[in-house]
Amino acid sequence: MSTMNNTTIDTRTAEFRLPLDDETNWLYEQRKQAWETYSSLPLPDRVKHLWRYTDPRVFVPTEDFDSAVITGSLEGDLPAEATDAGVQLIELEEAAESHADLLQQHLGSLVGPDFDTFEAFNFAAARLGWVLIIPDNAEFEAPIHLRRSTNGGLFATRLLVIAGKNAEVSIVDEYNGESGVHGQINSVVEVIAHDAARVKIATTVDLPDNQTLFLTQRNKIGRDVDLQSTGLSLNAGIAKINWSTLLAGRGASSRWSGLLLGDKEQHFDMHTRHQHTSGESFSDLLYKVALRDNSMSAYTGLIAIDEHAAVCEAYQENRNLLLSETAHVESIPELEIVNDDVKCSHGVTVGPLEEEQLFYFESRGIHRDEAMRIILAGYYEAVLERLPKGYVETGREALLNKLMGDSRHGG
Amino acid sequence: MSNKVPLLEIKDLHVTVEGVEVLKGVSLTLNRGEKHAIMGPNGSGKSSMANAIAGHPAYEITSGSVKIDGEDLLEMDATERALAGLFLAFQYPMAVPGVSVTAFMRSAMKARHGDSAETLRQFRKDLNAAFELLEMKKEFAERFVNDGFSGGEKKRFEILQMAMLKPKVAILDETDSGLDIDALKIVSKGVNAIAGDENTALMVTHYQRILNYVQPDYVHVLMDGKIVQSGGPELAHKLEDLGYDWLKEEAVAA
Repeated sequence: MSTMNNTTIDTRTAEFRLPLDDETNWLYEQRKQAWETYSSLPLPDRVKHLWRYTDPRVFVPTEDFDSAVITGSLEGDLPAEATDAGVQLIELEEAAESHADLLQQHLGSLVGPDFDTFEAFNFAAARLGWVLIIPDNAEFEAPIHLRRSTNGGLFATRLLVIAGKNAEVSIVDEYNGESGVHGQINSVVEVIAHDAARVKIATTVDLPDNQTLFLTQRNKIGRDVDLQSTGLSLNAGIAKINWSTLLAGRGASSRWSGLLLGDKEQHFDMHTRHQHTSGESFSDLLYKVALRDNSMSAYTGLIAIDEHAAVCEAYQENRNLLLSETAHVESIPELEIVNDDVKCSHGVTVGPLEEEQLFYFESRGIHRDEAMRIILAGYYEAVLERLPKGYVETGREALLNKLMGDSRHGG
Repeated sequence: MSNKVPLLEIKDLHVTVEGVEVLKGVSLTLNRGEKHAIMGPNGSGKSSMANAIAGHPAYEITSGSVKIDGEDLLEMDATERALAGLFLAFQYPMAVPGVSVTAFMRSAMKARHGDSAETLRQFRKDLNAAFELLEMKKEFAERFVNDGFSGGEKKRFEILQMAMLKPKVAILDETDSGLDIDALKIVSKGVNAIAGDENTALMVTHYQRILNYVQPDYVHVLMDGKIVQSGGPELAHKLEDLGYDWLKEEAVAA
C-alpha cells in the first residue's frame, strides 16, 4: 500500500516489566484483578471441547510471569482519508488516559478477564495495542493497516474497535514475525459495530514456525450492520483462534471467509461461533483448508440461534484438502437452534486433490506441481476475493508465496 | 495423399482398467492430413482408448506400442505427451473453480512457449481469434474453467483449447454428444478450421452426427476392445442405417 500521506502512528518496540507497581491509572486496578483471576484459574480443561485438539500449556508464558519481559512491536498505518474522516487510532496506554470513559465502558466488555484463563492473562498483561475509533457516518475505502509482531518471549496485545453508526471501515490486522525468533503472541480483539455500520476486517497470521498465537476475537454487531471478515492463516507453529460474532441487532449480517495452508508440523485450531440473538439476521461462513506434510487443522464451528431470533439464515461450510497422507483434519460443525423459523445449513468435506483435475491440467502440458499450485490458488480464490479492497493483491501474493514454497518463513 | 507421414502409430495396444481388459489389441495409424473416426457401441472401449493414449492414470497399458511423430509415447508422462503434440478433447471436462479460462490457457501456453512479453502478446491475439472461431463471448475469458458451463459450453471450450494448443494429434472423445445442432455446427466449424494438412484428428463417437459436418477420411468400428471393421465415410452411413448389430453377427460368424 502507499505510504504517502499516511500517518504512521507508531513503529517501535516497547518493553514492560512486571509487576505492575508503577502503574497508577484506573486500568491498573482492573489489571491487578485480572492477574488475580488468571492466577486463580486452572489451565483450560482438555475435556472441554474447545481444548480437545490443542495443549493449553503451549500458551503459558514460558518464563515466570512476574519477571517476564513482555515485548512486541506495533505498527499502524492510518490512511489520510481515515484521518480526514475523524478516525482515531490510539495506543492502549494513551487511550486509558485520553478516553478513560470510553474504555471503561467497552474494554473487556466482549472479552473480559473472566472469559477464560488466557484471556484473563491478556487483560492483565497487554500493554501494547490500540483503540480504534471510527466516528458515526465516517466513510473511506483504504484499509487501516495494523501489524503486530513479537521480538521474542511473550507478547500480549489487545485491539478494541468501535465503529460508529453508519460508518464504513476496512481494517487489516496482521500478525507477523522475524524468522528464527522464538515467541508467543496472546491477542484479544473486540469489535463493536453500531447500527448500520459496514466493517471489513482481514486477519492475517504469518508467523515463523517457532512462534505460537493465541487469539480470541469477539465482535458484537448491531442493527443492519454488515460485517465482512476474512482470515488468512498462512504460517505459524501453533495457532489457536477463537472467533465469534454476536448478531445483536435486527437485520445484522456477518460473513467470515477463512483459509489455511498448513505445512510441516504446523498446528491450527480454529473455532468460530455465529450467535444470533436478533431476528432477520444473516450469517455465512466459509473455511477452506489445505494441509501438507504433517500439518494439522482442527475446526469447530457453532451456529447458535436464540429463541427470539426468528427468520434468521445461517450457513457454514468447511472444506479440507489433504495433500499428504500424514496431514490430519478434524472438523466439527455444531448447531444450537432454539427457533423453528430459520434457514440453516452446514457442510464439511475432506479429501485429496482430485486426480481427474490434475490429469486435466497435465493433458494440457502443465506439469503436475504447477497444476497443484494453480488448483490450490483457485480453491482459495473464493476467500481471497472477499479480502478488503486494497488488500486483495497483498493477500493473494502472500498465499502464492507460500504455495510456491518460498514464504518468508522458508515455506 | 502420396507422401504419408504417420503422426500417431498404435500397434497391438492392450489396456486394462481395474484389472479388466478393455482394449484387446488395437492397431491404427493416423497420417498427417487425415481425419479418422472411431465408432462403436457403448462400452466398446472407445473412450478407454482415448484416455489411455492421453495418459490417464486409471488406464494401464499392458502391451503394445504407441508412437507420436516417431517418438515413443508410452515412455512419456501425461504432461510430456501433451507437450509432444497430443491433445485430448474430454468427453466430461473437469471443473476447476477459482481458475479463470484465461489463467488456465495462459499456463498451458507458458508450458510451451515460456513467459515473455512477446508470448503474452501472441497469447492475447490467439485467444481472441479462438474466441471468434468458436463464437464465444469475451466474458467467457473470466469465467472459471468448466465451472457451471453448459454441456455445449464445455465442448466449445475443449475445441477452443485445441485451437490454442495446435496439436499434431487431436483425439476428440464424444465431442458431439449433448450438443444441440447450432452448437454442433460451431464446434464442427472449429474442428474443420484446426484439423488440416499439418496434423491429424481422431474423432471418437457413438453416433455419426458430427461426421456430417466433419468429413472423416477413414472410419473404424471398435467392438469389445478390437477394431472389427475399417472403411471410408460410407461405413458411418451404413452404421447409421443398420446400427451395430450386423457387425456383432459378423463377429460371431467369424
